[in-house]
Amino acid sequence: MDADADVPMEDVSDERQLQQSYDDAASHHSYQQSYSLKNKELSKSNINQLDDWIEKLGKCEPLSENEVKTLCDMAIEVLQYEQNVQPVSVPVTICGDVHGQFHDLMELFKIGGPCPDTNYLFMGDYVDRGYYSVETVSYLVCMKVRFPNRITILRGNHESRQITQVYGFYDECLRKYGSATVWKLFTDLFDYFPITALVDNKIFCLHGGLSPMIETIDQVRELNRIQEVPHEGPMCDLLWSDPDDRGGWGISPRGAGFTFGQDISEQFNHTNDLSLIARAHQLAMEGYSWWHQEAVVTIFSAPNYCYRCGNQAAIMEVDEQHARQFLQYDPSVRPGEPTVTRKTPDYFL
Amino acid sequence: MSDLHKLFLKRIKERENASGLNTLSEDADPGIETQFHSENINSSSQLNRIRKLGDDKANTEILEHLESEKNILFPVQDKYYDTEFNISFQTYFSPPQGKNAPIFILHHGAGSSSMTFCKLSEALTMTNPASDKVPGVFAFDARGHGNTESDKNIDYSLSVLTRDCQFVLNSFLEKNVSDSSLFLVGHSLGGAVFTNCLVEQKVNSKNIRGLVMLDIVEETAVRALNSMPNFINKRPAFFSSLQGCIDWHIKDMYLLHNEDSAKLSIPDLLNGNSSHYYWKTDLKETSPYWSSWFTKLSENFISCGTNVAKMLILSGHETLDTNLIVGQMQGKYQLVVFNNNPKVGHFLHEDIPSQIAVTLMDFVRRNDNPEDYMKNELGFIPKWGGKINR
Repeated sequence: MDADADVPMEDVSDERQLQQSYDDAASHHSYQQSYSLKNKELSKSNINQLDDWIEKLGKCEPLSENEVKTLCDMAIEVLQYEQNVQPVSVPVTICGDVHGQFHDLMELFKIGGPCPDTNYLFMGDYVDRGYYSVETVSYLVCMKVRFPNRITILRGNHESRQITQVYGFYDECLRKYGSATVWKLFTDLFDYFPITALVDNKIFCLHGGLSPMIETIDQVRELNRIQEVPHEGPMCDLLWSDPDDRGGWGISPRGAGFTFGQDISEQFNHTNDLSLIARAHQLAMEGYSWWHQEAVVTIFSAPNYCYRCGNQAAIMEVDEQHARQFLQYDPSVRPGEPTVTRKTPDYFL
Repeated sequence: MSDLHKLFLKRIKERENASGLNTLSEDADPGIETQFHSENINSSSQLNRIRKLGDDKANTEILEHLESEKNILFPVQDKYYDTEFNISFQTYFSPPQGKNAPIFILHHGAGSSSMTFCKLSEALTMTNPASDKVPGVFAFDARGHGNTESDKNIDYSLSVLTRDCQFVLNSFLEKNVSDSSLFLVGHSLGGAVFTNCLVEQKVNSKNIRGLVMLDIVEETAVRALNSMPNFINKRPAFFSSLQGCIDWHIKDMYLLHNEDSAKLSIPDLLNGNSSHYYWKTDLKETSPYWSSWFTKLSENFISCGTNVAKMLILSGHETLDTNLIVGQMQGKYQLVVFNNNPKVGHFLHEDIPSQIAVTLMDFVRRNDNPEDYMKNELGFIPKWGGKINR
């Protein structure tokens, strides 16, 4: 049991008790995987620690490097046992891209209701572009570990080593921690995030869209997802593809994934007995947009994206009867937004 | 010793004292001093003569190297004469080899020339000689640039540069009828010219499959307008040798980071001979037109061309403006950023030609023929969902 090497001294006795109770439980339930059991029954000290972290992060104060290490270790224990197609039950509130806009995430929880009172499903892209990727992803991962059955966090195309080095998360980690350690911890953790979710067997949720190599949801279950997002292939497509007005498949202008037309969406929904594909990945000026005669919906939850795009954000509530309701919101009022200083070259020839 | 001579010695002494040297003591024999200095002067003028001879040899070597590379890289070098404006455009063409091999059409930026693309062209055409498909490369020098001959008082407005580009491309297409897909790759201002070409739709080809802009973002460029005069004033009016100009770009200004590329791109920027090389393009003359160059560029880049795939390649940092962010977040184009590498600057195709070539070839592979791409590159035919869009 070396997973919690960074737990402070005062917790040691608790740890021993935990070890004891968990050995009992393990023998009682004859579990092979003691790690998973440990997290299914969070100790009181772990709960207190997580609650402290959530309170701290709620004030937009980042955790220390050691705390992030402990948190990521705990999160791996939870996430590695989730499925490629993680089952989620109704009612649930489905959310799209957040992109480090921490204050808007707090606004989201105000609009949608606090977790765990409301169940949440996030469809990826927590980091990059906004100024608080560290706080945003730390907060969501804390919530995931604290309330594993109340919140689901899927992987987006930005939860990747390569992409985060270009769009800000890597630089932000260097700025806030003075080294790339925290970036490494989180990007290693991202490999464990589930890639899709299935709400009550009817709503298929994922970050990007469909793949010409995936015809059934069972084929998603067969993928090995614990890896960096590949440049091509089914896992890449699920995180990169976009719906299109043109029918059939198309090469995605993004350079990864595909575009898929209404015929594709309808066939996929029919084959898999689905009512809807919910996805994120694309900016929608109203926060959400319907595609393919309501076979697909895009949900985007970062209002005024990059602090300049002027878009609304939205989340989608799905109730016990599968009735859907969109809640739209504008950027939160926040004190002292960091000034955008953009480097100007001294020539443009 | 004349008064003038004494004054000269005094000044030398002062300068040496100021720089912490004390080779000349106050009490030294002025005769020795004189001798010492005249020797010094003699030897330094001799040094200058040697350096001069060395420079001449070096200049010749650089020019010969460029000529030979030009001829290897671009077997077809034509002048396209435009009667309307009395301009003779210098063009360079490396024909495609193999059935349906694509052609890259390259447009350099302001103050540059076709030779900025030498190493990129080499990487595109020479790296895989065994392949049955070698892409073609076509480039030309814009008016007032490189070896294009134009009258004085040149109009550098975007609309005129676009017209030139349409003239050259349509002449090229007339001479070289082919089914090759065309991929437009413009560096900086060249990217704006190509984008405007697609907006105006006056290039007589249905085969334009892609548009690539190298290191240009409207908002960033417009913001840089204020500092442009400063930059231009920092440019020396002339250089005493070609190597001097190469060193200025690499060592003084950090504009270029790859000497192999610079040796090929710099000579065509300069006129002159022996010990006096001056700029072919007077950038000050272009200043009245700057405001026209990038207006609406981002909006146009996103919306121009039907069924034209687009890619934006940036060096340094991701500095998209609002239109480009929205476009990117709606999946309208591909963005590639070469960041965290101090050896990559604005002329990224000169700094890292192989990496840019690989990026361009990947872009072509995906977008030239999607059906072939899926079948040959990804190794599958979609088992469901029907057709694949072009």
